[in-house]
Amino acid sequence: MERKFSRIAAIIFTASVLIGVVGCAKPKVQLQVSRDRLQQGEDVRVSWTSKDAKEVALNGKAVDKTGAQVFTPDNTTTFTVVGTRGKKEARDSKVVAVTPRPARPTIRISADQEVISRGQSTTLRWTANNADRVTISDLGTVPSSGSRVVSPSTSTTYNATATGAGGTENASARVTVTDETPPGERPRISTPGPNPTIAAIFNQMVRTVYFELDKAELTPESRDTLRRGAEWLTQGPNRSISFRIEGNCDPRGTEEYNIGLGERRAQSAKEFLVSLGVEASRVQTVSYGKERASGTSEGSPSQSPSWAHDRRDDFVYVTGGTPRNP
Amino acid sequence: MILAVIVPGMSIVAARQETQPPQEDIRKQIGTIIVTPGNGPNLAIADFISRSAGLEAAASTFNQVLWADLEFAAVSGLVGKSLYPKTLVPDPASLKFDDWSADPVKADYLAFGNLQNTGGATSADTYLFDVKTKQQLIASRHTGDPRRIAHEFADEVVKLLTGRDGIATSKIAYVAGDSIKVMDYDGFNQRNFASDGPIVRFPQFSPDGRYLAYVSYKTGVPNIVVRSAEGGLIGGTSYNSTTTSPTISPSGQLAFSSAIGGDGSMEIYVSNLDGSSARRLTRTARGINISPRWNPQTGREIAFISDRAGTPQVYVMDSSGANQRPLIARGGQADSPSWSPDGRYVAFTYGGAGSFQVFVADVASGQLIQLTSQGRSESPTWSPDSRHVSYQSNRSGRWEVWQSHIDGTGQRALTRGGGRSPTWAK
Repeated sequence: MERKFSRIAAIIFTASVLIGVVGCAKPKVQLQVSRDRLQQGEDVRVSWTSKDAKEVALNGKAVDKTGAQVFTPDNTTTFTVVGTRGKKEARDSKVVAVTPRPARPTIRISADQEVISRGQSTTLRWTANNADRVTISDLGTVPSSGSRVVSPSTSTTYNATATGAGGTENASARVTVTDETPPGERPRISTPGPNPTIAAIFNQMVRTVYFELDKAELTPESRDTLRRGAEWLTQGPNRSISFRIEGNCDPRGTEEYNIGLGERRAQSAKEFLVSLGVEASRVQTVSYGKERASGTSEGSPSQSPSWAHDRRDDFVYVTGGTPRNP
Repeated sequence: MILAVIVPGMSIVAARQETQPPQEDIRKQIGTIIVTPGNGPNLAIADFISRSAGLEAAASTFNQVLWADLEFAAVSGLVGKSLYPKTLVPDPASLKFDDWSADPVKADYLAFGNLQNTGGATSADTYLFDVKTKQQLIASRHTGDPRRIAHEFADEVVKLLTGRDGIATSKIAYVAGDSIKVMDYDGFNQRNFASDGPIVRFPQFSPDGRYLAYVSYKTGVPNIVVRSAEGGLIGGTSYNSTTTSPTISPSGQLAFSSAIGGDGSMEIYVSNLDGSSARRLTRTARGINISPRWNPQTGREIAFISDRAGTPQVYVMDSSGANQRPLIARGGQADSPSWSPDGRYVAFTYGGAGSFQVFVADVASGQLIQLTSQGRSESPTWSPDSRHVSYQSNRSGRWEVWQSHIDGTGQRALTRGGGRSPTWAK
C-alpha cells in the first residue's frame, strides 16, 4: 500500500516536472565580446550561449543556439542576443565602442626652382596634414607647413616625412645643381663668393698638392706649387681672400685615423703658406679622411681615380678678394 | 668558420704591471664567458600559445624572437624543439615536470606561457620553472609589441639564470649613408636618428646610453654634436679646424680629437658634455692623436690612438692627461679602440696595407686574440654586458654592421642596406 502510494507520487512528480520543462521553462542567453573598445578596422569576437531556447537571434538574425562570430564594426555597436521559446524571451547585450581610425597623414613638398646653378638658392615649400611630426632630410624636424631657403652645393633630394597617429607618408623634391664636376674631380668651390671669377682665378693660382703614402710631409714639388700660390695670395687685394684647405687620403687606411692624417696634410700646407706670409687667420683646415677616395690602384696624381690622386690637399676659395670682371 | 686565434710573439706593454693578476690564458678566460651547449644548464623553450583570436602572427613573432635572444645570449644550452613532448604548455597547470626533466629533453629549466588580447593590447603571461626541483622561478606578465615583450622576457630569464642584466632590450646606433640610425640590438626597428649635415660620422653613446655624440660636417668643418638619446640637442663644438672622434665618460664629460691647438697636430681634449671648457691632454710635435675612448667602468682612463712613436698604436692615459703609455705596441697600424663596459678588455682595429681585422686585448695581461678574419672588419663596440661585440665588415661586398660573441663565434650581419661605426648601449 505504502509502496503503491509512493509509485503514484513519483509518477505525479515526474509528470509535473516534465510539464514544467516542456511548457513553462524560461530560456536563458548569455553574450560575451572579446573586447568592448576598439579602433576602426580592428575586429571583435562575439560569442553567445543559450539554454532552453528554441530560436536564437543575434541582432535580429537567426543564429546557432551557441556560437561565435567575428565582426569588424565601423561604428559603436550594440550586440544583442535574443533567445525565444514560444512567447517566452530572454536577451543579453554588450556595447562595443569603436573609435574612428586616425586619418593618414599627407605631405607635399616642392622647390620654387628645381634647377639652379651652384651658388644660387631656391625655396623649399611644404604642407602636411594629420601629422604630429614632419622631418626633411638636411633640415631636421620642421613645422608641419613652411618654407626654407636652401643653397645645396650639389644636386640634392629633399625627403620629407610626415608621421602621425594614422601612419607615415613621404614626399620628396629634387633640386638639381648644374655645373657639377664628375666624381674624382671634386667641386673646388663649395662656398661661392660674391663673384665666381675671383674663385676661378683662385683655383688657377692655388693648386692641388699630392702626398706620398702615409705621409703628411710636403714633397719638393708640392712646396714649389705652394710657393706660387703664396705669391699670389700675398699680392694686393688678394690678401683679403680667405680659403679652406681640404686634406684627403687614399682608401686603404682606417676611417678615424685617416681623418687625422687628412688634417695633418691640410696643416702641413697651412704651415708652409703661413711661413711664406699668408696669415693663419685666413685659412680653415678640414679633413675628409677617405670620404672622397675613389682609387683602386696606385696610379699617379694626374690619373683619376687612383690612390696617388686620392692623397691630396684641395684649396677652396671661401670669401674676399677683388672682382676682376664686375 | 671564424677562429679565435691567439697571436703569438708580439711585444706587449702591460698597462698595470704592478697590479697584474696571475696570468690566465685569455682563450680559457673567454671560454667561460660564452656558454656552449653541454657546458651549462639546459633550457627548453616551449612555444607560447595564442589564447585570443588573431594573435597567431604575434605568437609566432614572440616565439622566434625569444628563441633568437636566448640563443645569442649564450647563457645556457637550448634544447632543440624536436625533442619536446607534444602536449602544449600554456600555463603552469598544464606542466608535467617529468615530460621535460626526463629523456630525451633533459632540461634543467623550462620557459613557457601564453599570449592574449587584453584591452586591445597584446600581453604575454611568461613563466620559467626549474623542472628538476619543480620550482617556479618566474611568473610575470609583459604587455606591448610582441617583439619588445619577447626581448623583455629574454632579459628576465638571463637575469634569473646569471644574476646579470641581459642585452635583448639594448640598442645600436650606426652610420647609414649620410645619416645616423638607431636599431634594436638584433638589427630590427632601424630608425633615423640624425642627418644634420652633408656627412655625419663616428657616433658614440655615453656608457649609460642617455647621450649620443657624433661628428657633423654641417658647417663645412667637421665638429662634434651631442644629443640626448631621444634626439634633443645638448651642444657640441664649433671650431675652425677638424674636430672629430667624440667619446663620453660615465660622469658625462666629453673627449675628442682636434687640430685647434694651432701647432699642426691632432690632439686629445676633454670638455663639458656641451663642448664648453675644452682642455688639452696630449702634446705631440706634428702628431696624430685620435680615437679617444673613455674607460666606461672607471671613468679614470682614456684609451686613444697615437702615431708619436711612428705608426698609429693603442695608448692609454689617465683622464687628467697624466701617465701616457702604450697599451699595445706591435708595429702595424691600430685604430678605433673600444673599452668593454666592465673595463677588462679593449677591442680595436689592427692591420696594415689595406687589410684590417678586429682584435681584443686583455687590459691586465696585454694578451690578444683575433676576433675576425674575413674581408676587412673595423670599429668594434661592446655589448652592455661585455660578452659580445659589434663592428663593421665589408666581407659581403659592402660595409655592414656585424655582431658576434667575444670568442668570435656567432657572427651575423645586422644591416642589409649598408652600415658603419656601430656603438652599442643599454
